[in-house]
Amino acid sequence: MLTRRITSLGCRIPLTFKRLQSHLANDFKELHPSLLLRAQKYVDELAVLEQWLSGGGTFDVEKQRQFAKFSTIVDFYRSYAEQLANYRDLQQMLEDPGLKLEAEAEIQATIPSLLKASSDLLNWLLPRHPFADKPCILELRPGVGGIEAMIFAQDLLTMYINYAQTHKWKWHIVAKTENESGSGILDAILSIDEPGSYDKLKFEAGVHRVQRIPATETKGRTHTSTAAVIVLPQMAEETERESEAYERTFKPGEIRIDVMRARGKGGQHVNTTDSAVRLTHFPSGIVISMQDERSQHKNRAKAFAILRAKLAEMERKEKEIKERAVRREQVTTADRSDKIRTYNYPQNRITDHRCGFTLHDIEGIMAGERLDDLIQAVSKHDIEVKAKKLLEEK
Amino acid sequence: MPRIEPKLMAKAYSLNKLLPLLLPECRTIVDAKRELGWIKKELTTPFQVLRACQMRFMHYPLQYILKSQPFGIIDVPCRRGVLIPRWETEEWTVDVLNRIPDNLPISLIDLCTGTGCIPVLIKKQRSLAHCIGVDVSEKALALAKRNSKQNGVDVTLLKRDIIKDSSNIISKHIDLLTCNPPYISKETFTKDSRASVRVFEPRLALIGNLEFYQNLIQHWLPRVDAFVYEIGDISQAKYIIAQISKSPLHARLWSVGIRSDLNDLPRVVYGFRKESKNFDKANMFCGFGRLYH
Repeated sequence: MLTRRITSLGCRIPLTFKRLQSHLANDFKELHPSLLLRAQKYVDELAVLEQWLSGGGTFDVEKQRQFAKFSTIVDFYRSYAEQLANYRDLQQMLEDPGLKLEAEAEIQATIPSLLKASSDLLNWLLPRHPFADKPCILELRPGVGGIEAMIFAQDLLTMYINYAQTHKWKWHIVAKTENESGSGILDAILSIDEPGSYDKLKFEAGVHRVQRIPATETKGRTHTSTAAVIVLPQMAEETERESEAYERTFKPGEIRIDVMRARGKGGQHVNTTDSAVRLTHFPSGIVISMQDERSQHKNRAKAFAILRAKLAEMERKEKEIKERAVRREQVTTADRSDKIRTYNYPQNRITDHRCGFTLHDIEGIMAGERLDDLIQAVSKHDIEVKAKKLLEEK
Repeated sequence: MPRIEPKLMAKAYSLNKLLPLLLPECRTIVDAKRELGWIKKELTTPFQVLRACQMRFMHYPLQYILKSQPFGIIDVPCRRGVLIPRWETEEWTVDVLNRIPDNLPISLIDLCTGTGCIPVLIKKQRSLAHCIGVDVSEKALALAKRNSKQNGVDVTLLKRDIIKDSSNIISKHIDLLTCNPPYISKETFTKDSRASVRVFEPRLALIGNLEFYQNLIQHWLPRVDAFVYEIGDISQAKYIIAQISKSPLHARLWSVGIRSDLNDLPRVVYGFRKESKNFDKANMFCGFGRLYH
């Protein structure tokens, strides 16, 4: 009954739209058998675990966690397999001229959920990002474009704060330097303390480009400016205790700590608050300045937390490059391309250049409410690229 | 100190009416803005903020206005009449603290304790330590008491004038003696110290030369296992080193060294017995500074 109604609707669908839909239908590709083999392995492992658990084995957190993970994957796998079987049946029905129309309509209806099931499953089958469950640190800096770039960097900072706010995530500003007039920022470090926020925001790393008529422009011309975003995993809390323990892991001579202060005799001769700290890590050449707190100790702890995050990210990237060299391939992944996104205010448009996704709602994005749409699009693209890579390897 | 250019003043005024008031102490707009941020964070009403900025214009120390100064993990209360803890002191105290084993009941005495920042911080992080603070000033002791209460630690505080009489302060043996004595000599006081220090901080805690270092050699060396004294000038450290290497009794038993602060100025003279009871002091001070004797 339902099918018939849809068919009758389908007759009235304009030709172009129909073509679009049929295009969609062709767009669906079954997951590669080798991937499904992986999923099948999880099914087997789950069976073993289930047996162990029902056998009244002692409580084991690790096993419980594995069980939870496996059963999610298997659930996705089953739902995918079921829908796929259904889809194949429909495909067969297409050959029957009497049922063809109805089958076509039915296929259109099942495609979206099938696509979703397949991408969900794929997401679980791909190797997890090593920092996926970590909280994150965002570092923002204006690029080309002078004061307008500083203002844009400030806008981006507000956007990420709003984003954290809409998700009810805890956040705090680690450091922020305003420009002289106070309209924009020279740099800012925002910490989002929600575990797993790194996984969401990792695609934000790169150069963001803005096209708009700046507030500073008097003749009404559109300018293009940029701001850079760096996303780092938060490896530990930025408490003094953590930082001291971490500080001790470095060999002497690897780290230099400078205080930024004037000449003079120091000590009892001076009583200004000289709490600024500059940290230099020689092996990597990383330099971090921190001056926002009145306490030198706290500035130091913050600087070490940032250093730790930067070193972890660097190590991960190096590992990735090495792996890539082993495979002798040059695939551009989402996190490597430089200019990642354009914010075009006059056209009320945001385009992500990695996946070509466009959204016409600047306001919603800058308020952090619709940023998830963008992030989802990029992450979907990333999953597809990675899956393709995985298959090529096989 | 060169004057602030009127151009800079005008620029600061255009950004925020309060900024020009902070410029004489902070010198640059960026620093002034940061300080204004701190003031606004700790004071509630606009009137209080305005008063604070006006006082800063008169070089009144920020720590007396906000009534506190961070020191390691604690906040130390600050009041007129007691020296404000300096970052240099914080730096070496934290380093010493990290070298104290946390499972031993060590005894520590801090002379010229002022706000009591050193014994309170150490007691806060090494709860087994027995900490004593000594000062001659009534105001300092009252503030040190407040400090220990505020941070919830138990520190023994004694009112003594150690220059007059150091003999009967404590009878038992002490593991570690720390001191941040007044070390600015009378001659250099006007020349080297900042106006804010000169006018608003107690001279009792600032002006002195060798008397406290003399006092260390004469009265304290036999009773302690190790000492850490802050210095304002290399000559004070040289004096200690000379005195110890001169005396046949001390020369054999003691090692003495100098530690520089993060600004690369000699800031601390320290010494330890080569062989000591309780725990190994030579090991504790390994890498703390450079040994000269």
